[in-house]
Amino acid sequence: MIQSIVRKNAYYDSVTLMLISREMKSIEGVEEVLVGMGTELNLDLVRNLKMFDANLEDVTPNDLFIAAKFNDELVTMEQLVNSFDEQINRKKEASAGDYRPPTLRSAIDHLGGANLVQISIPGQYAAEEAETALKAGLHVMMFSDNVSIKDELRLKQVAVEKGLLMMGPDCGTAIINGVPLCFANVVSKGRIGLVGASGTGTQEITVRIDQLGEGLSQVIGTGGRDLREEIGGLMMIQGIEALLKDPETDVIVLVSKPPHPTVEKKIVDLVKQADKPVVIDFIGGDAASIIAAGATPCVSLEDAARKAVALLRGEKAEDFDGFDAPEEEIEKLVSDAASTLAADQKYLRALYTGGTLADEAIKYLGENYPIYSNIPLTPDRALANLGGLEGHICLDLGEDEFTRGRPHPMIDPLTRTEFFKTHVDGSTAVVLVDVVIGYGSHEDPAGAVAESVNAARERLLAENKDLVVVASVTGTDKDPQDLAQSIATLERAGIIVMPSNAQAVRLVGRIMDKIGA
Amino acid sequence: MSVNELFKQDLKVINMGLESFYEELRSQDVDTIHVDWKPAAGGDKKMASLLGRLKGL
Amino acid sequence: MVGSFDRTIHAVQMSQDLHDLLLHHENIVFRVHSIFRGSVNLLSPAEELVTIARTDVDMMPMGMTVDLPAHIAWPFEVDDSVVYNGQLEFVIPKNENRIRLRHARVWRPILSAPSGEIACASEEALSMIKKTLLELDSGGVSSVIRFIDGDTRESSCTSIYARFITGDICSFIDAVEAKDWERSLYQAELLVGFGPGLTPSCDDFLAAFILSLHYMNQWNHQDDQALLSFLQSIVELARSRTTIVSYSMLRHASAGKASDSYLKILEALATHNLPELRRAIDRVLEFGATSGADFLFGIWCVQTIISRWARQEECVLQKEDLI
Repeated sequence: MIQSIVRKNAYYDSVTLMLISREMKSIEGVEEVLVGMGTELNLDLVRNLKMFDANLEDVTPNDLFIAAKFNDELVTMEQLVNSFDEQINRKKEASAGDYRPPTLRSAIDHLGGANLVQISIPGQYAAEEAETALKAGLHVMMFSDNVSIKDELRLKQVAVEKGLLMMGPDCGTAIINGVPLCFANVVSKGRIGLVGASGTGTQEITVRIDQLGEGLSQVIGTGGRDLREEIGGLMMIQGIEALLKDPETDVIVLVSKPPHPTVEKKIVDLVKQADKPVVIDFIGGDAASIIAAGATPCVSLEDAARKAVALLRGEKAEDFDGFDAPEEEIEKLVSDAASTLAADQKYLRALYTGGTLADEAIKYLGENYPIYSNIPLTPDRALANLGGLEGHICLDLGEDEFTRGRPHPMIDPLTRTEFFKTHVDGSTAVVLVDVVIGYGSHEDPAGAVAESVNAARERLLAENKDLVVVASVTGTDKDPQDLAQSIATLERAGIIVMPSNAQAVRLVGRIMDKIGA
Repeated sequence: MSVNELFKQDLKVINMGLESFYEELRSQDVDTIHVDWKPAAGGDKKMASLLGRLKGL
Repeated sequence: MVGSFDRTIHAVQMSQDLHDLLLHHENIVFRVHSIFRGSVNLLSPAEELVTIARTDVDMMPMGMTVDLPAHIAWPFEVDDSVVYNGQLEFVIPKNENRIRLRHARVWRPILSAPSGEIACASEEALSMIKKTLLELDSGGVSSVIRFIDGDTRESSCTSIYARFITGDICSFIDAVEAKDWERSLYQAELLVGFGPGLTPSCDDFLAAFILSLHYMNQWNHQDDQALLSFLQSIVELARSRTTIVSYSMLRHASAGKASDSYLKILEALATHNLPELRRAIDRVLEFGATSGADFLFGIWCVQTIISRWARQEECVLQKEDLI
């Protein structure tokens, strides 16, 4: 039996038609089925297969035809057409639960009441999306970097005008209403508010506050360039004003690299008016203007945390530049460490994933030792000037030069693993590392460090040498990676774990003094 | 919505970019949505605004 | 879940030719021509086909993508009217839904000449396409490549369409290689509109020829009038011999316009970018399935011919040097 039907102006895509004609061909009794558009050449094929019937006389290229050759004792044309329609109408179920809208605009429509947009798309596209968000009245947290300073200024001006937060570009850390954003630790809720222009610096202060038994109300990030002259501290000022008004905040902490003098003046002027205690760590910056403003300066990130806690408790905020452990214990650690080293093991290798933590190490150790770095204290200490491994090295492995084409070393430990292989050798005395855990970070950075240390020790065994490795963990017992577990992992690998980066750095300084490095 | 009003609300986050940031928010039961963002294929912003300008909008 | 939709849809991208068309009109009443899951075709009174697609669909000439979520059905049916109101909006009078254009980025449906030397497709590139096609089992005509590759068993062509057309495709290829445009056109007439699908397979195959030869002519500043009129004549043939969707595709191809994934193939070939070519091949097959395979088959054929021509020219030049 040969029969055909024609659907006027019916359109289905090629894939659908192909799948359906295959299905139809598999029906019992069907010898051949052609489904196609009624073009002259397709009709030629129908004729050629001797499947042409009168229905096809008036068909045009914009009509769909179904032509079939079948055994009419087994199947009817009506059944074939029904099967065709049934398959055409079979709709794919798309679940709305994991719906991912293609644009910011549709996301705003879809998630009713959204109040913050977190942006980590490539820099060249980020500014435009941030502007859309701000104009829609949403606060922005922008992890993306490579945004021009001109765009940053424009975005922050829009934000200030609308009373919104524009955290970033290049802002890695914030905790808003207790929710850690991007790279942040799970800390207790409390009465200390923080505005930070440096990501790991902010992380270090918040975890130490948590360990001291207090907590954070809000942690606002500004991005690293906020206190430059061009931006004028727009977001730090916006953040301070918000924390001053916030009834949940009793003490305010500010952390940043030293600001541009004109910006520092603005901030100090604002702080002068403050009716809440303000602790300021302009890492390595001048303390005089801070004191003059009635605020409290700091000697380290850890010190900032301790002072904030002291002020909150109504205690006196005193400089802390020592150790938690008693002096005898520290002295024993130092001499034990020194005794494991051979006479020609002299040099420091500080391999940091957190930029502010590396900065803190260089500023402290650089006072007594020439430290070569990619972020040197003075240009003559640039890593390139060392030209080999015969010197003290401290690196911020999160800088662009090391991360091009790969994730930040806090996300993927690979970069540091490689530096362990290339930069730790028989002349190395002490290795100093940070282990930053929390949201955003790698699932087990401590494990990666332990593995690298074990491999390095194995290599040095051939020379009959050992290594001293000192670490600190930036994290809390509530972080997904767990502070205690991370410390245990490091200690199992024979790594000395200090309670803060500042103490780790000081211990390394003591060891270097001891061995006459 | 001012910053201080934000402090009183539950955070509702739209995430654009790294999916891991979205997953981490979800794992903390934060109300969040992920934008399936893609760079526009050879998009030219200038042209679109030209169209807007010519039509006086 | 197929939900309803009661708000404004925003265009995400629009092609430059559509942008230019709208720029010159205050009011156009379109008719919904055909509806698919991922896209909708509108037809203007001047028979211009405009495609509105979801963002997971390829950008097309005379097309735009809109942010309509995948689980929400298109807010109109075939034969509804859709009005462009001159105010950067399409309005659907039936239910007052709107498609707003003002935030759309403009996408160029053509390629610019690659910077640096323009060469023909490398052997590695051609063999990557061939391998991909040999492993496919598409319902279109692309399985003819097995026959051309030397497998002359009838079963090598997996679809009934492919078996029927193998001879005509081979004759067409021979005629084009001989630059015998008259014979090529005669052979093309035996292909236009043939095959399954809304854009019949052979039309995708021919689109690859038209696009490739168009850009070869343009990039090498050949201004070969005989070639251009051959390409134009194929388009003329298509006007009555195939579907309107297919005709539009061929007409665009003769102006160097094509969907984003088709253009990416040509660009990757011209710049010898193999990783990009791999991605582009996967994209073409993902978006187009059968059509994509037929287009790739056309690309393989025409680019092989173009590189043979280039080699012959080199030989001629060398001989001239010797004399």
